[in-house]
Amino acid sequence: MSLELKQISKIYGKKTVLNGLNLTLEEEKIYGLIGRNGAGKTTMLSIASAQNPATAGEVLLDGEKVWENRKALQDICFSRELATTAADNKNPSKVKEYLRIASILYPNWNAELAKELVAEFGLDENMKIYKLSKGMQSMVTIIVAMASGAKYTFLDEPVTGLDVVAREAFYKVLLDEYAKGGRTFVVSTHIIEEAASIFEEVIFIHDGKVLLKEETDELLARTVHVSGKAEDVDAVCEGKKEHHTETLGRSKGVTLLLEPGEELDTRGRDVDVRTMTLQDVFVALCGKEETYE
Amino acid sequence: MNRIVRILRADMRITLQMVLKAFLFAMIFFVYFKILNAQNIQPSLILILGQTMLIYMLNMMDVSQNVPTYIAMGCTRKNVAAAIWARWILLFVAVIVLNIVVFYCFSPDELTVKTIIAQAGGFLFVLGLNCISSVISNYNRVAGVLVGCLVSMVIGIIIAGMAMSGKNGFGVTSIVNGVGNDVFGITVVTSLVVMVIGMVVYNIHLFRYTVR
Amino acid sequence: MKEVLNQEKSIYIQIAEMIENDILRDIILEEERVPSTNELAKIYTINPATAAKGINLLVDKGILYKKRGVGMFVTSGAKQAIRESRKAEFYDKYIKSLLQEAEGLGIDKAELIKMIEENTD
Repeated sequence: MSLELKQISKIYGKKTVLNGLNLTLEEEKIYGLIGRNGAGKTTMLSIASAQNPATAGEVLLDGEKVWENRKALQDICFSRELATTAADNKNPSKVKEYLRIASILYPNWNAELAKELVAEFGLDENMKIYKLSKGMQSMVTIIVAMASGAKYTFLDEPVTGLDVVAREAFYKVLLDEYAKGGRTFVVSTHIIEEAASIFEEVIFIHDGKVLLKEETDELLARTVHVSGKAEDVDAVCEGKKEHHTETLGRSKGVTLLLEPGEELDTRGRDVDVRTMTLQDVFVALCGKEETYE
Repeated sequence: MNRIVRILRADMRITLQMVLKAFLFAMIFFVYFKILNAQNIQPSLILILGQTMLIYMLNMMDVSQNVPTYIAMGCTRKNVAAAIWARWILLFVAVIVLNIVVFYCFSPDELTVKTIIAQAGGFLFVLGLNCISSVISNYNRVAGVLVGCLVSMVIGIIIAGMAMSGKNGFGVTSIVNGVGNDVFGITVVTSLVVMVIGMVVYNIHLFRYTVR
Repeated sequence: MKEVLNQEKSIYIQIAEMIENDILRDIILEEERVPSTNELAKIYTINPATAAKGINLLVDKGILYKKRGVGMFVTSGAKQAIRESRKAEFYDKYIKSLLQEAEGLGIDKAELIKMIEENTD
């Protein structure tokens, strides 16, 4: 049962946030969704879960349209920033009320897991939602996502405001839930390196489209950073697609995304070739050119 | 049906809160009714009092609580709309029943069909107005409140004016009993129109509801 | 033994190497069970698919084999096999870069041999 986003566009007034975006998500995977602020990650997840109508294009779950489709929506959970849904001053809901609503509206709710996580995170269920700190709000969104039991679960920057111990706890809970089988998770995050090892595939969003979607291992295997004296670097990189060049005096550093099977010939050239972290790759592909004078 | 019940069940607090508000509503209207009929209160005071209460009641009837939560948790907009209609109906019935009870207990002579209809009309008016201002508030909070206040003030002034020009003195009783059946009719029709417009507007807004 | 993952090599390769190290150090003996993919995923906070890749690498090399319903086990003779394959990689992994570095610094063959002789028994 795959979830397909077909030619999705979203335009707000004059601003185009998503521009003919195509993406297919498969069962039982953990995807990392990475993109700059404003790249359209939240909008994409919102459209994929029918919370936001697309300006053009459609979202299909197992071939059926997701919009206003009760059956399809039962298998999708987009647990998002509380500020958007509940932390409204008009509505002073308590944490336990919010969780109660979730427990009734999500048909596969796992009450035991919810209880465990509340205890593990040390949350006070009687606190009003608009009084929660950013970190505690994140904890609530994580609990809803994990306990929902939905086949396709999206988390938008779930670790915002969490200290490193809580973040580690989250990654472990995520892997535990995943190990039980039957669920796909899409996690958007800015804390890339920490989470890189749990993503089976990564999706980069850039300029309103999917820039790449690939197995993390494969992507890292084919990206290299070549550095040394400018002429040597140019010679080695000739004919290859360069991304992100850094120059400093006579030295030059280039990020290369090699095609499968492509190799580098560094014979006779004194250059350093090193592998890159996922974070480095992202900055190289979606960041800005750098020149130091 | 099942899905609607789920939404209502999920948010028992709001549903119960609304029934409580219905009781408050009934009491407020009863008091307003009595004040309007008292001969020795200045018309301007009544106007101010009336507007204040109307605005307060506007807030009491807020129908849009938790709508973004339900939609964020995977409910279809149709189901959410149906659940909100169910709440409205529950509330309406509660208001009528409580109104009858309040009048029966404190002022049984004034308990006529027309009085009840006038009260029901008032309730529907406030509800419709609340829907309209809710939708506008979604785009611009200030505008929503302003529209609500303005419309209620304008209509309130018209009705108060009509009441004051009544031959039997001013007051809801006068309207109800026959300054003119026209006035009574106009009041009820206005309420119904506002209500219908409000509900239609709100439903349209709901069907395109976006959680960004 | 739980070691720390670094960014130098693909994670699944590191997992495979760690298991090989454990076998060489007799931390896991031949015909004993190795941690499952889910257990590895939990210990190292990595995706189970990555852990599985590492295990499959060793299965392909003949270091591990699968006992259906029970788990992954170390094959007999795996320890020797690992030593031999690492010996074969020794030149590429250690000697080649040593020679390159020496050349870059202008250290000639005689000096290198002298360094080795002075520091070994």
